[in-house]
Amino acid sequence: MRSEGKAIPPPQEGESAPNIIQELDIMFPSEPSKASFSDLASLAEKVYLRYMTSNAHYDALGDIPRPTDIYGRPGSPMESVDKKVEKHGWDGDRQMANLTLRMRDCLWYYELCHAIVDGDIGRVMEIIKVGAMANI
Amino acid sequence: MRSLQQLGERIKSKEVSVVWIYDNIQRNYNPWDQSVAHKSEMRTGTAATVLVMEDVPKGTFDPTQFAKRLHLHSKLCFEDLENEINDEHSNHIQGIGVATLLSIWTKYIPHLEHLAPQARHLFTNDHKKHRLQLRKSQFYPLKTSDIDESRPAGAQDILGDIAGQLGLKDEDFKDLLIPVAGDQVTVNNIRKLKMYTSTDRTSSSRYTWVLPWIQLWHMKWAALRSIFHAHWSAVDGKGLCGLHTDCKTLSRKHINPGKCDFYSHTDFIFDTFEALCLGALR
Repeated sequence: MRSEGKAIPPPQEGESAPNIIQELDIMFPSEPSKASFSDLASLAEKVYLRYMTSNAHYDALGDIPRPTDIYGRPGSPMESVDKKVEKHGWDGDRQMANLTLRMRDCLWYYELCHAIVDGDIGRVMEIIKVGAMANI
Repeated sequence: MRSLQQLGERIKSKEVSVVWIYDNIQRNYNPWDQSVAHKSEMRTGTAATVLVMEDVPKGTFDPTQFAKRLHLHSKLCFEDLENEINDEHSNHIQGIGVATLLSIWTKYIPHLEHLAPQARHLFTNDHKKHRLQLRKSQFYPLKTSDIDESRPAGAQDILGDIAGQLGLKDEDFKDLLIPVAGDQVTVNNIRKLKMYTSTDRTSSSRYTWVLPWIQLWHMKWAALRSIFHAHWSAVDGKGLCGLHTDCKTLSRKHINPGKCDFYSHTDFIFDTFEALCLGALR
């Protein structure tokens, strides 16, 4: 299992970046016993909180302080690509904020479709409820 | 026809609860020799089905009890809904989010395949809400008609046509409440019909027995359109992220956010979402 904060080394000059399958092979080595379900579930929870919630969207915009238990230690501040578009002094990440909203919306849609296939009308209603509040 | 009449009797006696489903059907008519009397046209009609509902608690479709329940919920306000979503609901959605990530990772990463049953177990046990029993549906296809359902008057004609095929008379609707399902246009037309006839004399002609109900498939389609509306950028290119850029990267040729065909666009959303979930591991 990939340890927290350990990144795959960036490609050297002249090397092509590994594709995602190669990266996953590095992250999850062939011994199945190394990856326990609880480890994987805690990693999934972290990914969910970082990329699939409305709070993550506001975090990315820099509107609220980023909790260190979800994001780890703060890295170097983002720099806006087009400084004319954003307000002076704004240090958010617009692309990450938009991506977070997209992943959140897609998760709701994915769940809506799968809950219908599973025949779980209760799960469908939960998504309808939150979708109605978010104008989906 | 006889079985439809029998079904009508069972509906009348409240032995079964049913849902009426209808939608428009359109067909191009192209005559070989076109003339003033015979020219190409799009012919519109309606196809309807009656579906028997299962596991309906007693009194669910009783008009009096339904009115009482509506009255009880009339004090429901935005804060109540918001609090419910923020408290109990956010935990459920978080659990579903985690379970979805786990199911995608265990589906695509060979070394995690052995954990897939545990990920599946989260949906079928930990986060299940109200699973329906697996059973064969009882449904009764009705005769198609040439009624155009795109207006409230058309909806009125169709309701009359379905009632006629089931052998239901005006007085039979006094103690009935029947969900009538369709797409957004159908629901809108039925609501308008109920509004226009709200001052009529009988409950039958006021259509108080009709409960407009949007079908889940149409709801999914509306959600899909809203995703494309929100996340499809007008431009694509290097340094940008979004559905448009992903569409170009994946060389998907049949993606048109204006038209938004259901199956191809759903596949596209699923593929990109699953790739993003795998990419989140980086």
